[in-house]
Amino acid sequence: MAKDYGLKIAKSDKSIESTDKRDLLASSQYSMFKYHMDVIGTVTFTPGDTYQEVSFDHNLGYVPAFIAYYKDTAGKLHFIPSHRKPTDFLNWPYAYADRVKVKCGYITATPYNQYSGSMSHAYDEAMGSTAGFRVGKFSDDTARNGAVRFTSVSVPQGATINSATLRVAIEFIIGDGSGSLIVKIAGIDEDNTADFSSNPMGRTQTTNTDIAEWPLPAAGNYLERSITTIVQEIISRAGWSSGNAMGFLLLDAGGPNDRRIEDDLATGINTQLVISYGDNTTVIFRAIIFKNKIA
Amino acid sequence: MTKDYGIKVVATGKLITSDEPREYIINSEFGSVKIIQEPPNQAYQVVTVGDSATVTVTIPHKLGFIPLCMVFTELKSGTGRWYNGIPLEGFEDQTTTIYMSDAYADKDNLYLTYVNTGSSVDVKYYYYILGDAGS
Repeated sequence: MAKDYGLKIAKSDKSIESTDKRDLLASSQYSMFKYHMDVIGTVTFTPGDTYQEVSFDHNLGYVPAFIAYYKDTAGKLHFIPSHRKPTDFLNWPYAYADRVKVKCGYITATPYNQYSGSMSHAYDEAMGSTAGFRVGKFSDDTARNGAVRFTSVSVPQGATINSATLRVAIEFIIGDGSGSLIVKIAGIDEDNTADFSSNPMGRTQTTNTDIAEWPLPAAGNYLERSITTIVQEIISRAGWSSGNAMGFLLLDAGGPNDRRIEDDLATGINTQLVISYGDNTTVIFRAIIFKNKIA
Repeated sequence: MTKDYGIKVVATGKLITSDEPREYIINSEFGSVKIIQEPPNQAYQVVTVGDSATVTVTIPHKLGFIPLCMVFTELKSGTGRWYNGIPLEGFEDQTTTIYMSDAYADKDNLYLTYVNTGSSVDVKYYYYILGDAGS
C-alpha cells in the first residue's frame, strides 16, 4: 500500500523506496531551511580598537537559525566560529542572533595596532641605582637624570607611528622647590636597548628629542608627552625588530632648584609607553539568515 | 532535446533556464539539506550545568551515518543572544561563565559539551540534525 508522503523526491539514480535519508532530495516528511536574507557588512579597526561589530536587522520577531562568515585580510572566508576556544586564544570572531538582529563582530585580545607597556627597567644616574629614576633638580641645583626601558615592544620595523606617548608616573614629588619641571626626553638610539645593568646615560641619543615643560599635578598622576618622532626614529632603524626593547633618557633641562619627581620600579604606579601605528583594517562579515525559528 | 532533471523549481524572478545554482529553490541536479531532526516540538532544550561542572548532552539520531549538524546556544542565560556552532562569546557576553568545549556527531548521536566556570546555570540550546553525511 502506497504511503501518503505528500511529496518525496529521490536523487538521481537513487530509489524512491530507499530508506537511507541521504538518498532523498526532498521529502515532506522532513523540513528544509527556508532562506530569509543574505547580508554583508564591513567593520573598520583603527589602531587602539579592541572590538568592532556590525548588526543586520532581520525583522522576524523571533531568533532565527543562521550561518555567518568573515573574510580575513588575506581574502579567506571563515565560518564563525572557526575553532574551539583554547585557553591562550588571542583574537576571535563571533556571531549571534536575537529576536531583532544577527550581530557579527571581532574581538582582539590586545588593542589593534597598539603597544602599551610599563617600564621594565629604570636607572637613577645620581644613585647609580636601577630601583627607579628621578628627574629634576636636587637641593644644590644639580641635575637629577634618569632612564627608562620598555621590553617586548610589539611594533613592526618601519611601521608608520601614528602616535607615541610617554606617560611619566609621578610616584613621589621631592624637594621644597616649586614650578614646572623642564625635562629633555631623548630616545636611546639602539636597535634593541640593553638593560641598565651598566650606566645607560652615555648611550647615543636619537636625533629627535623633546623638551617638556611640566607643571606638576599631585603625586599619583602622570605627566604625558608626545614622543612620536622619537619613537618613529627608533622603529625606522634597519635593525629594529618587533619585540625588541626601547629606552629613553629623561634629562633635567633647566628646571627649578630642589624639585624633582621619582618613580620606583617595584612599587605603585609605573611609567608607561603607548604606541599607535599603522593603517586601519576592515573585516567583512556575511550572514545567511533562515526563517527557521530556534527561540 | 530536453534533459531529464526530475524536478526543478526556480526562485521568483529568475529564469528556469538559469545556470546559477543559487537561483533555484530545488533542483534534482543538486543536493539539498534536509532537516531530519530538531528538538521535540521544535522547542529549544535546557540543560543545567552545575557549579564549575562539565555536562555533555547526548542526542540520539541513529541515522547510521555521521550527519551534518547545526547547534545554537544562548551562551549567557536570559540574554536572548544565540550563538551558532562551538561559539566564542561576543563583546556583550564576555562575562559569561559558560563555554562550549566540544560538539561532534557519530553514527548514533550528537554530543554537546558545556563547561561552567561559575555557579550553576541553565543553558538553552537548539540543534538541527541534517539528512546529509558529514563523513
